[in-house]
Amino acid sequence: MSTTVYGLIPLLPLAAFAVIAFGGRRMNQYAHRVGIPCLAMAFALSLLALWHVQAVGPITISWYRLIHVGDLQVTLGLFVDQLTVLLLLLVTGVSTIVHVYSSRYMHGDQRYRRFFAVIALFTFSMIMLVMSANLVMLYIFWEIMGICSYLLISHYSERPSACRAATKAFLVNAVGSVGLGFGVIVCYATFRTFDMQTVLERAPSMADHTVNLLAWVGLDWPVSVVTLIALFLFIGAIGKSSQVPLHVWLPYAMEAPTPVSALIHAATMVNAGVFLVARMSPLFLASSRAMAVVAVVGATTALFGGCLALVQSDIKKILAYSTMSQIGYMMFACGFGAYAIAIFHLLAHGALKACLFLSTGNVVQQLASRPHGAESLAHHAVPRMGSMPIGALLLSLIPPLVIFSGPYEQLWIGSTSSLAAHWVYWGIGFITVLVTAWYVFRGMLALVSPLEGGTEPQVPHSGGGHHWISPPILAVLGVGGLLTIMVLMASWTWVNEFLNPVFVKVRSPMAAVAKPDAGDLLVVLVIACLLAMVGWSMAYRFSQRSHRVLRSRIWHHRIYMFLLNKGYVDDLYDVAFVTPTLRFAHWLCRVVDWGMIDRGVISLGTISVKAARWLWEVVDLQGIDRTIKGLGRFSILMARWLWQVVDLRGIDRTVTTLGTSSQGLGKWLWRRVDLRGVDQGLERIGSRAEETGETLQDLEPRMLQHHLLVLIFWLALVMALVFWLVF
Amino acid sequence: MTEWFANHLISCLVLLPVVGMALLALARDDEWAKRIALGTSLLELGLGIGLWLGFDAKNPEFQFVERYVWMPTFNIHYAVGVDGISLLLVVLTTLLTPLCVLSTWQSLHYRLKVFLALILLVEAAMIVVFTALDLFLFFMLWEVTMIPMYFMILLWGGPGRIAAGIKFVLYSLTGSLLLLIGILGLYLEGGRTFDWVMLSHQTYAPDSQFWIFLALFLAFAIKLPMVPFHSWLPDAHSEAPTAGSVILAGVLLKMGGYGFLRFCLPIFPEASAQFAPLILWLSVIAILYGGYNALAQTDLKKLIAYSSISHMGFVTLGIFVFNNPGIQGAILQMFNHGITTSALFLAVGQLYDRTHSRQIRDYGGLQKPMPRLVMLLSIFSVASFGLPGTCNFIGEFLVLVGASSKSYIMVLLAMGGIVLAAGYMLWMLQRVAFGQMVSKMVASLSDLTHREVMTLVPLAVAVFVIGLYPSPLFEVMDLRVTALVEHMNSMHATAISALGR
Repeated sequence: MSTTVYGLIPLLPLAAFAVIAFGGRRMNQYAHRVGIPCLAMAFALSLLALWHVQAVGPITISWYRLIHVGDLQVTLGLFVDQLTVLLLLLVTGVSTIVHVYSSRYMHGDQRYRRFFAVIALFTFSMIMLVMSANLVMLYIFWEIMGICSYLLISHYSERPSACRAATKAFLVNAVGSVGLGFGVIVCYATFRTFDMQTVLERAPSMADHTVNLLAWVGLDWPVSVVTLIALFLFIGAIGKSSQVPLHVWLPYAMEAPTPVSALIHAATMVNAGVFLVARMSPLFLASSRAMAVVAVVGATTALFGGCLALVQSDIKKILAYSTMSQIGYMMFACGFGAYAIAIFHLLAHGALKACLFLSTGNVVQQLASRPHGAESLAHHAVPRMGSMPIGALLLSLIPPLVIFSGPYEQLWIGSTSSLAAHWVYWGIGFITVLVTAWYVFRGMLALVSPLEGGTEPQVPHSGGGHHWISPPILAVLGVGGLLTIMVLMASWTWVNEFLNPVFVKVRSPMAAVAKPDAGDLLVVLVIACLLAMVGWSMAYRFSQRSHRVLRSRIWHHRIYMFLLNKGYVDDLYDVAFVTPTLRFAHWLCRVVDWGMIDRGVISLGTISVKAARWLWEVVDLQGIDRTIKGLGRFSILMARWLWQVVDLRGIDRTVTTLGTSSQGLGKWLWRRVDLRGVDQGLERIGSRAEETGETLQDLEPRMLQHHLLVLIFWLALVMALVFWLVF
Repeated sequence: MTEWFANHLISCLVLLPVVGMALLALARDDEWAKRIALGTSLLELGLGIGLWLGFDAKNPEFQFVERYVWMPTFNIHYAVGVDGISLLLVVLTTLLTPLCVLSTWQSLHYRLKVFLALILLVEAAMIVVFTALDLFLFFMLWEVTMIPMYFMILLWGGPGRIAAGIKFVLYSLTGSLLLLIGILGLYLEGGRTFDWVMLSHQTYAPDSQFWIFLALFLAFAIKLPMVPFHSWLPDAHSEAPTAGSVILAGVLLKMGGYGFLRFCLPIFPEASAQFAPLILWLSVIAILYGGYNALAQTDLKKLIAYSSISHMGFVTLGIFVFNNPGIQGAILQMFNHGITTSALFLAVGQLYDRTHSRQIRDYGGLQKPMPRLVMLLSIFSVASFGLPGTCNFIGEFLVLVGASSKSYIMVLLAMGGIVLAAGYMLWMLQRVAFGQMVSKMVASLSDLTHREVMTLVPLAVAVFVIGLYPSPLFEVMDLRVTALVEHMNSMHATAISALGR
C-alpha cells in the first residue's frame, strides 16, 4: 500500500500534465479541473506520507533501471524520509493553492492550457527532486525544473523582455547545473555509486582523500575530493537558489505570471538548493572549507539581497530580492550545520511567500485595471489586499511572531560558536534583521502611498481578461497562511525532533551545543526586536523624505545608484562574460574557422590549381613542349643539313664526280683503248665484221655512259650494304 | 521460408532499395515515384525493425552473417553481418530514410525520380558499410555513398552548392585515399586477407600499427568530422537539400564513429591507446569549438551543422576513453544525434520551404503563425543540448562518466560545451520563435500540414522514449562493447607485460 501512495504523490501531477498537454482544445478552458484535484490529492497523500514516515521511518522504492552499463547502474526510484516529507507538504500544498488561484488569475489567457500543463510538470519535477534516491535523478529533475521555469517565465512570449528573462534564467542555471553535474560525476568517480544514502554513509571516511586537479599539465595541486564534490554540488545550489554570484536571474523571473512567482519562490526552484545542501549534509560536514563557503555565500546573499530590496520600486521585485535574502539566510544556517533550523525557516518562508505573492498578484492586477493606479490604490485596494499585511508583518521577523524561532536560534548559535569569525557572522545576521524590517515596511508603505522617485509598479502581463481574485479566496489565503505559520511556529520543537533522524548523525560541533538557555536567547531577542524597530523607522523616515533628498547627498546618492543598478553585477556579467563570449564566438567563427581553417583548405585547393597551372605552363608548355619542339626543329635542321650538306654536296657531288670521272675514264677508254687499240684491231677485223661494225655504230655512246654510271652506283650501294651487314 | 529469410535478411536489406530504384525507373510520374520510394523505405524500415527483433542480445558475436566468394584471386568476399555496434546504426539508417523521402513530398520538383533513387542508393550503400565484414566491400561502398551525396548537393542544393559539393568531394576523396592506403596496409600486413574477423585476431608490429592507424584515423576523422578536418561540413550541410542534410548529419557522419569502433579500436589497441590523449583533447576542443562557432552563426542550417561538430566531439571523447560507459554512451550519442539533428534539419527545412530563407534575422515571433512547428522545434532544440529526459542526455552523461576516469578537467570543459549548446539553442529559439513577429511575411506563414507533422512526430517520440527508457538500446550493445573493452584491456595488458619482459 505504502509504495503505491508514495508513487502516486509524483505521478498525480505527472498525470495532470499528460492529460492537460494531450487533452486537446477542451483543456483551454478546463485545465484547472484536472490540475486542482490531482494536486489536492497529492497534498492529501503527502499528509498520509508524513504520518507513515513518522511511524516507520525512511523508505526506499525503486521503479525501473534507467541506465545499466557494465557496473554503472542508475535506478529510477524514490527515497522518502523526514526531510522529504516536510518538503513534499510544502510543495504540494503551495502548488495546490497556486493551481486554485491561477484558475481565476489566468482565466481567459490564450495559453491557459500550456500554463497549467507546465505548472503541473514543474510541481512534478520538484516532487521528484525531493524524493530522488540517487544523484542522477536529482540532476535530471533539477534540469527539468529549469526548463519548466524557462517555459513559465517566457509565458508571455510576445514580449522580448520575457524571452530574454527566460533565456537568462536558464543559462544562469545552466552554469549552476554544470557545477552540479560535475559534482555528481566526480561523486561517482569517487564512490562508484550514485546512490545518495551510500554516498553519504561513505563520505566521512573519504574526507582525507585528495585528487590532483592539475595532473593534466603536470603540476601538483591536491584537493580534498570531498571538498571538491561538496563545492561543485554547491555551485548547483547557488544557481537554483539564486545565491550571490548567480543570483541575477531571480528578479528577471518576475516576467512570469504572478502565480508562477509564488510557485518559484515558495515551493520549488529556489528551495531546491537549500534542500540539496541539507540532503548532502554529511558530505558538506566532512569538509570544513565547503561549510565555510556555504556560510559566507549565504551571509553575503542575505545582506546583499536585503540591500537591493531597499531601493526597488516594483513590489514584485522587492519580494524577489527578499526571497534571495531569505534563502541566503537558510544557506547561512546550513553553513553552521544548523540544518533543522534552515529547513524550518524554509517551510515557514515558503508558506509566507506564497501568501505574499498571491496577494500581490491581486493588488497589482487592481493597479493594472485602473488608470491612475497608485493614487486610487490607497482608497480602493487596501481592503482587498487581503493577506498582504499579515504576510509582511510575518516576514519582517517581528519577534513574537513566526519565523523568529528559526533565525534567532541560529543567531544565538552564531554567537556561541567556536568560530573565530563568529562576530562577523553575528553582525551580518543582525544587519539582515534590520534591513529586512526596513524593506518590508517600505514595501507596505509603498502600497499605501506611491513611492517617490521610483517608477510605478509595473504591470506584469499583457494578456486580456484577468479577473480579480474574490475576497473570500483572499481571506482563505490570509487565514490559511496565518494558520499554517502559527502551526509551524508552535511546532518548531516538533519539527526539530522530527528532523532529528536525518541530521542527528551529522550534527556539527557547533549545532551540538546544548539548547540555548533562556537568558542568552532573551538578549538576542531584545537586540533583534530593537533592530527591527530601527528598520521600520528608517523605512518611514525615507518614505516621508523623498528620494530626492536622499540623492542630493553625494555618498547617499552613490550607494543609492549602486543598489538601484543591482550592484552592477548584471553589467559586470555582461561585460565580463556575455559580450566576450559572443565576441569570442564571432572571432572564432570568422577568423579561425572561416579565416584560417576553411581558407586554409580552400587555399590548399588554390595552391593545387596554381601548381597545376605552373606544371602546365612552365613544365609542360615551356619545358617539355619546347624541348620537343626544339628537338623537332633540330631534327628538321639536321635533316636539312643532311640533305644539303651530306646528301647534295657530299654524296651527290661524289656521285657526280664519280660519274664525271667515269665519263672521263670512258672517254679515255674509248679514245685510247677503243679507238686506237680495239678500233685498230677491229679495223683489222673490220673488214671481216662489217655487219657487226654497223650494229655498233647504232649504239649511242651517251647511252652507254649512262648505263655504266647507274651500274657503278648500285655496285657501290650494294658494297656498302654488304660492308655494313658484315661488320 | 522463414529460415531462408532470416539467413538472408541483410542481403534483403541491401537489395530492397536497389529494387526500389529499378521500380522508380519504371514509375509513370512523380506521384508514383514518391509512393514507390516511400513504400520501399517503409518496407525497409520494417526489415530494419525485424533485424532488431531477430537480434539475439545474449550473443556477442556477429549475427545474420552471409559470406560468398566474390573475387577469389584477391581473397575478397561478400561478407556481411551485424553485431551490437552496427545494429543501431542500421536501424537508424532505415528509420531516417522514409523521413527523407517524406521531406521531398512537396518541396522538391526538379527531377524528383532521380533524387529519390539517389536516396535509396545511399541507403543501400550505408547498410553495406555498417554490416560489411570484408574490408574491400566496406571500402567500395564507402566510396559509393559519396557519389549520390555529391549529386544531391550539386543538383538540388542552395546557392553555394557548387563550391560546397566540390569541397565535400575533395575532402571525402582524401579520406578515401587514406582509407584505401590503410586497408591495403592491413591486407599486406595481415596475411593477404580482407576478412575483418581474421584481421582483428592478429597482432601487428608497433610500426605498422602506427602508420595504418594514422591513415585510418585520418580517414574517419574527416568523415566524422573532428575539428581540424571539419570545414566541409558546415557548407555541405547548409547547401544540401533537406533530405541531403538529414542523410549527411543523420547517418553519413556516423560512418566515421563506426570506423573507429570497428577498425581502430579492436585491430590496433596499442596504437589507439598511444593516440588516445591527442584524440581526447581534440574531442574536447571540438566540443567547445563547435559550440562557440554555432553561437556565432546567423544561418539556421549552419548553426545546426556546427552543433553537429560539437556533438561528434562527444562521440570521439566517449570512444577513446576505452571503457564501457564511454563507448556505449558514444554509440548512443551517435544514434541520438541522428535523431535530434535530423529532426532539426527537417524542421528548418519545412520553414525554408515556406520562406526560402535560412537567416535567423528573417524570422521572429514564429510562435503565433506556426505553433506546431515551434513546439516541435523547441523539443528538438532542448533535446539537442541534452536536457535530461531527452535522449541526448543519456548519451552525453555516459560519455562524461566514462571520461571522468581519464581526466576531470576534460569533463568540466565538455560540460562547458553543454552550457554553450544551451546558449545557442535557446538564443536561436528566442530569436526565431518568440518575441514580436518581424514581418508580414512571417505573419502570413501557414502552420505545418499533417504530413509535415508526421515526419517530425516519430522523432519526437523517439527523443522521449530513449530519454526515459534507454535500456533496450543498451541491451543490444552491452555484451559486444564489454567484449571490446575486455579485448582492449587484455591487449593492453599483454603489451605492458611484453614491455616488462
